[in-house]
Amino acid sequence: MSLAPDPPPLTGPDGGAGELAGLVRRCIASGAVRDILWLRLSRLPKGLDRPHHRRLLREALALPQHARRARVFHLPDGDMAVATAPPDSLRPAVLRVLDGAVEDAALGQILRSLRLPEESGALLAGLEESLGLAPAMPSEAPEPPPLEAEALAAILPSLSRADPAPYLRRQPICRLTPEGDSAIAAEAIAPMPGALRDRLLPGRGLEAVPILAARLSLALETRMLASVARPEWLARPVPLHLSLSVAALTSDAFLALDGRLPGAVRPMLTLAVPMAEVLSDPTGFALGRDLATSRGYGLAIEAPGGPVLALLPPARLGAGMLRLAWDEILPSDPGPVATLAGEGITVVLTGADRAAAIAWGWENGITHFQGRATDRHLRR
Amino acid sequence: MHPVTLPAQHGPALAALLFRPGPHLPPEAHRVAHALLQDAARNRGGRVSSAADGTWRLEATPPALEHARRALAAVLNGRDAVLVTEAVAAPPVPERPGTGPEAILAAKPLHSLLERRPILGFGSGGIPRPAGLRLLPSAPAIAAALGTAWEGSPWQAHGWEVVARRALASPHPAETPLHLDLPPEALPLVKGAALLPVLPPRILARPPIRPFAVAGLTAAHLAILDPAHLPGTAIHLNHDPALEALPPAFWRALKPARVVLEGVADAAGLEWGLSRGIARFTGPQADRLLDVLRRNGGT
Repeated sequence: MSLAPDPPPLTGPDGGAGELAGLVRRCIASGAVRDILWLRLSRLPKGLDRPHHRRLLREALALPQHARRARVFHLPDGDMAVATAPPDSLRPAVLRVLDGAVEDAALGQILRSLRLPEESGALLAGLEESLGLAPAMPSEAPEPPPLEAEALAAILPSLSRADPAPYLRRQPICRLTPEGDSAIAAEAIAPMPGALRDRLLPGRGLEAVPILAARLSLALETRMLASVARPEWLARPVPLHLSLSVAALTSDAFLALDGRLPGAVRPMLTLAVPMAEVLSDPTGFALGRDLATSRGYGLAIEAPGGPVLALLPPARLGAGMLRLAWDEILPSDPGPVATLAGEGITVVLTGADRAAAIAWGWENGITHFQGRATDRHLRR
Repeated sequence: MHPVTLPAQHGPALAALLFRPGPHLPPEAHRVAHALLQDAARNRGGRVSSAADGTWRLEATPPALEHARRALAAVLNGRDAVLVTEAVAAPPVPERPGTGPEAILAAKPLHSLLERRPILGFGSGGIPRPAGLRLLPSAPAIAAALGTAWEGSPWQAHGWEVVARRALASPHPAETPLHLDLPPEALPLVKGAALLPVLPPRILARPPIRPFAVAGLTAAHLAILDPAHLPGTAIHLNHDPALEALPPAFWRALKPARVVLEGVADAAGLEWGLSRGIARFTGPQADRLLDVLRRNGGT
């Protein structure tokens, strides 16, 4: 009778595709669990594949806490895979490096997290594809079947203690003025339910089932709230913007967080609620808003465009800040954006991935920006 | 070397996947294939069985089979193994009753899950006439069908959206215009101008270009919205005393010809609505008048 083979070592010299395939086989044979972070930089769109990003990535991966328990594999076209043992602390670090360099939609193409041995098939299939050995997948992938309620219900209990870090998007908010001031004003944190879906419910679509998607996001937001009051942040608090649904704002998790925060620290937190959420539940929003403002938190509304601001002015909602999403049509239909600064509302232009966004922002009295285009200004 | 057999992209739904390793298939490929099959069985609700000739058979739901097929095909490409799909005529054994809300609702006849609200309109000169139909999922019927296992949120709201999508995909009633309640995500599936999608208030954050109606606005909404900037071809509002407290200026700014006042119980409610410039109604009073019109040989 033979014993199970040894698990693969946690560290080792850098390897190539063959060694990565070998790692996969050892995980399958031994049952050892590894997290693979697969960086497909070859998929960066032209013009964005700048050498300094690869340098930054290698630096992030060389950080002592990661180098100690990680093994790096170099794949064709400059792609890389990194194997670590759970918990997956590497993904948030890499996301921080890629933020400002890669658009949200492309992130899923460029950064994939796979767990071995469960997802060995997917990793090997991808390896074969990048080695040119398998027929290329058709670029029009068929619509994934929508997530079903039973599948969601089955994983919700396991989320009550999950670490949210790998599934949170963190981006700096920069104050930039035409005169040349540039500084980081705050950090924005938002849930990424799609990434959580990739880990726990792979292959299921979220677009056609927004109610279930919102419930998944709520589970993540709850954990996000639980993770805010860490000793490191309390010792040296930096301003944070948290994207929250009305359900999260009025949840026990928020009350628990509130209980742990000293009064002086609360103004450091801005609670950002999407306009669609306010419209779905204005009564719930009013309750959450009243609690938040009475306790000293900042309140922001997130809007996907200009016209809704005429329908529902942020000042009427009791918000001191507007997070406005940039897109190409905003200049032709800005609604009352230009008047908001005069009403004492701070406007943050999010999704500012192009210089045009910053230019338009400056024309309309906006000096706070979140997005890739801020990179250039900060590096000065 | 045996070729890998792949199913047609648009063939019948898969019911089982057969994996036949050849004599020259290396042991690692064997192990990976076995792991993939076991993964599908363990984590995606399938069943793996093996036959005397070394063939393995995976029975699972079509999405799980498709996932396994693609992964296996990529791994085995060019190697000594055959991958065959089997469209099984009879459903795979054993037949598990659908316990999720989607299956429970799919088993009910659609008409039992929908609510019909005939619309009464007043044309120029105050002549009443039928003015279409609002068709929407019935929250009480959905709650009754789902029972205690799926009560509360988010399951009821999800069930509502599932029923609305089914109504969109099914043959529509003859009445026009048809005001059909839908989740905004289903808008790309709407074809035809005789259908007016009725969308929930969250659509107002980013209204669509195409004609649409909005429903579900409550007193809490109307207290904070600027009526002059409310978009939409039609606005469905439930008749309620709080509405009567809104000043006439509010109604003028709203453009009341767009409003369908719902749940009007009596003549007084109808007259109040007409006095504000509202011209379309649903509810018991509207049903009574529509009945009279029908009996008198109206359209």
